[in-house]
Amino acid sequence: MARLNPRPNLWRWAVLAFAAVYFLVPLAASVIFTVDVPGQGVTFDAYGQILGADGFLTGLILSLELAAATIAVVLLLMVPAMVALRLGAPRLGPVIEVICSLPLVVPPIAFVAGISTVLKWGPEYLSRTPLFQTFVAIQNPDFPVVLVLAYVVMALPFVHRSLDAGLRAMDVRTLVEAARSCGASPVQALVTAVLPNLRGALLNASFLTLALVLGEFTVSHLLGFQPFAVWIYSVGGSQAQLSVAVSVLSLLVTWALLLALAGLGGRTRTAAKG
Amino acid sequence: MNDMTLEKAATVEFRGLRREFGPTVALDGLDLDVRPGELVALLGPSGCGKTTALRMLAGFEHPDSGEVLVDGQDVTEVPAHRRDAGMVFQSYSLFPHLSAVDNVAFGLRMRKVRTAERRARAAELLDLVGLGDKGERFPHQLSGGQQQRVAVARALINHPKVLLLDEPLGALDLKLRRQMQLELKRIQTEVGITFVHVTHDQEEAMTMADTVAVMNGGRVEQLGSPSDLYENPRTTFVANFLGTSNLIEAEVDTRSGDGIVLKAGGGKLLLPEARCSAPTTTGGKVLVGVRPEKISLTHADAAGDIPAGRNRITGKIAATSFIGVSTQYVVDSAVCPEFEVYVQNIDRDAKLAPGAEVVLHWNPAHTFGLHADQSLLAGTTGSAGVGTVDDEAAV
Amino acid sequence: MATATSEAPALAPAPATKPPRRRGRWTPYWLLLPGLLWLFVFFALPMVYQVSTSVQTGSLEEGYKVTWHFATYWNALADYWPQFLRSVLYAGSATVLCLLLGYPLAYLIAFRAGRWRNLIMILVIAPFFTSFLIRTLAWKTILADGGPVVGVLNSLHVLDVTSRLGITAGDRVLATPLAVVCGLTYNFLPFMILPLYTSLERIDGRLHEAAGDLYARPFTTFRKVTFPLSMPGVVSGTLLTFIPASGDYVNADLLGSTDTRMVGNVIQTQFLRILDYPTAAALSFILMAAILVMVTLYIRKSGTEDLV
Repeated sequence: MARLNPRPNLWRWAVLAFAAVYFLVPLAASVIFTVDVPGQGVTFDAYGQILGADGFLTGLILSLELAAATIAVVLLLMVPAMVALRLGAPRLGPVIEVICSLPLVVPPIAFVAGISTVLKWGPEYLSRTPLFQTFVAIQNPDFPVVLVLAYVVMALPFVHRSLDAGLRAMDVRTLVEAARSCGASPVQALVTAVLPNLRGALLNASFLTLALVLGEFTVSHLLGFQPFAVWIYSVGGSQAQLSVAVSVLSLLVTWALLLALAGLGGRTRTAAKG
Repeated sequence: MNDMTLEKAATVEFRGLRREFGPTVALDGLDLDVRPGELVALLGPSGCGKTTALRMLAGFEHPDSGEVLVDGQDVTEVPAHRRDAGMVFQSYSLFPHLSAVDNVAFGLRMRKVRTAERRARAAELLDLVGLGDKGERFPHQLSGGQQQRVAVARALINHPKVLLLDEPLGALDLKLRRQMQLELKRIQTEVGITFVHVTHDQEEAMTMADTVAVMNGGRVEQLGSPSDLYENPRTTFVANFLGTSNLIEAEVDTRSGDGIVLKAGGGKLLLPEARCSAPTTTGGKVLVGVRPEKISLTHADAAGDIPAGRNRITGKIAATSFIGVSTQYVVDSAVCPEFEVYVQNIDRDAKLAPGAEVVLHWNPAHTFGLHADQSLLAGTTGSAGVGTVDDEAAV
Repeated sequence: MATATSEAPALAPAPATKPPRRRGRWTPYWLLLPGLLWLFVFFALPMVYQVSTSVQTGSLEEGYKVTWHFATYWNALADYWPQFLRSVLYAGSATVLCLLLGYPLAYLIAFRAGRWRNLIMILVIAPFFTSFLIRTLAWKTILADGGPVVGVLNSLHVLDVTSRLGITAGDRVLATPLAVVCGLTYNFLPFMILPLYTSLERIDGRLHEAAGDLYARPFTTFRKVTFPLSMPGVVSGTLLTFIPASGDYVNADLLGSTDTRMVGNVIQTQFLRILDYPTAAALSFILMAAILVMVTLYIRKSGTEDLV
């Protein structure tokens, strides 16, 4: 058996090394690109320019606002429904899972093509009705509601999965019944007994949605809005170093957030273990 | 605990409760009266409807027809959170995100009681269940037994009129279960409210309950004190589900004084009239039952020593098993293929080995008579449940 | 109260006249409704509308009308079949590469990583949490002409081989099919690893021991026990990689050239530059239909119901 032992170890290192390369090389390459100006040596100018860059803050704030709105809407739509489904109609679970997974089967480009045709031709038929104003309002570039509508659809599969996993991990029915026999109304039971125990899943779902919205490019680009990702793209053409510097920075920020979240999730998991 | 006295105790009445789940009849016109301050056990095999009945009392299920009354008031339409009923679940179901004391105080929080007051009252109840020093622990830091005590305290916090226990000890090991049975009984005596306890464990029901309702096929088969049910079962289901019974098919022969003489196989058996729940016209069929521990076993060679006036059956020992306090014999006889006999290990007779011809004999006063029109196997393992509804309907 | 025979509650403490069970029974459906409506209005309707657009004719100035002009489909296919083919080819290669890279990684994380498990998982998943665009831009830097990667590949004469195979051009990697496939692989690897890891993690370690006793050879154990049990992960991983990869246009745009345009690029151009909406709609409908057919066949063949 001693002969066999070194091999798995070797494999483990190989895989670790691969994971590290996968993770670090693009980052390193980006960092080098941003600080190494040909002929001038190392300079951090690109990072200095970020805050002052035209459109950076508006793009970032717009993305964060979109993310907040999307998270609020998608959780409001999904949490009560998923809990009620689990309590009242568990047999519907697989059907809902398939329905919620549908947006995954459609590539974003095809999805945005559909939205775009509706946006382009809807007003033509509705030009004399109040709905026309709605069409205009949801495409307000300061806060394009239409993006929230689309992002909620795109986030649905991920939110469904993480909520489903969270609900599977606990006995929702007994928790609700225990709360109700203690005098909690159905809504109180949801808020005081179920949601606190669903915290990990809610955080997960929110974070996945946040990541999706911050990184989303196809839909916003094709619909002609300029949140963060589109701004990076448009800056990339003229100020390549600046755009990569922003990328590196946002990578680091997201990873820090992710690690913090994992730490938080890890703590709640150990706390929840019996 | 002064505020938890008998005045809070309430009656519970089930009136013709009926509930179907698709093709399954969970409750088939259940009627039951529970006296105030009583600990009543709903006992029966899985699928007999006992949990459904309890959940209707809690407000988690709604009957198709019939009603539930607590303290004389119809609560059938009252939502679960407005009923004065605390519930203890099999899976403890403590809120994982709250400490023991916060779990107990949860009911007060729902009633918007101030934090300081509710923690004080929760601590008081934790004392009652013997966990006064573990209030700050979280459920995962408590053992199963401790979690169940917290669950009991949590269910009692709002001064319910009734405490409902749904197989509360099912997840505990045997030793802990015994201990908790006594503990729950003590708590019940102390708070004095009505307890409705659902269990499939006949020993647990007999140990704890003042009254046991044996349920089968969605209705109460027989209601009574544990000893009454054991000594005087009125159906084969009760006879078999509570302990073990030997059942013999017999025919009514004659009457002699306060007894009935029955023909079984070649011999005659005496049955006290008062202990027969079936009609006894001459020539009619009756099932005769006797508990295994009431029977004495004598080797056929010594048959002459058996006192007169005892019921006798002859047979042959098929198997024996020694279990410490007693020895269990299985005897094949002409009237009953597998007669069970438990003999206390006082003086062991070496001749009572498999293959030995023996005489089984017992005091006729221990014989009970049942209606012949029912399955001999009702209530034995594997034959319990909905399938026996038709058999029992004839009783 | 002993004579309680009437059906109506004597004291009527309940606020509603309807029995609570009836009310409660429909609650889940009512609560599901908003989400389903949302999907219908903002997902299904645009898709349907897109189909109608694809059979319209007209011009931007004069407006479009539904004329059941199915020729749009034939024209789109005739004009852009190379892009379709490329999409399938690139997405397929990226999927295979992702599986080859992702499976060992997921396997080792699930069974061998021990307490490093969570950290490695985070390392692998982290890029998924950052902008797609940002990741692709990083690859543009890595594969840049005259960069270290290209330098090493050149000096090892790897690029000579790949050029002869037609997946790179001269001593460049950027603006070649190889770069696009690399970018796709990198971008979608987390989509492959996550489901693989989830399904592998569920496998009971004792099964390995039992199989080890039976088959003795680790590879046989893998082939007969582990791999079949991880099939749901393989299926959903490959689908989650292939579907978005086949519709992608960012990688081809940033890392490729005009010779590596995929169907996503064509749709994007139709929308943003040429403004030929019927063609764009027809193209994305063909893409969806093609994906649907391939996915159905694939799921049939691999014999699993799990989509995700």
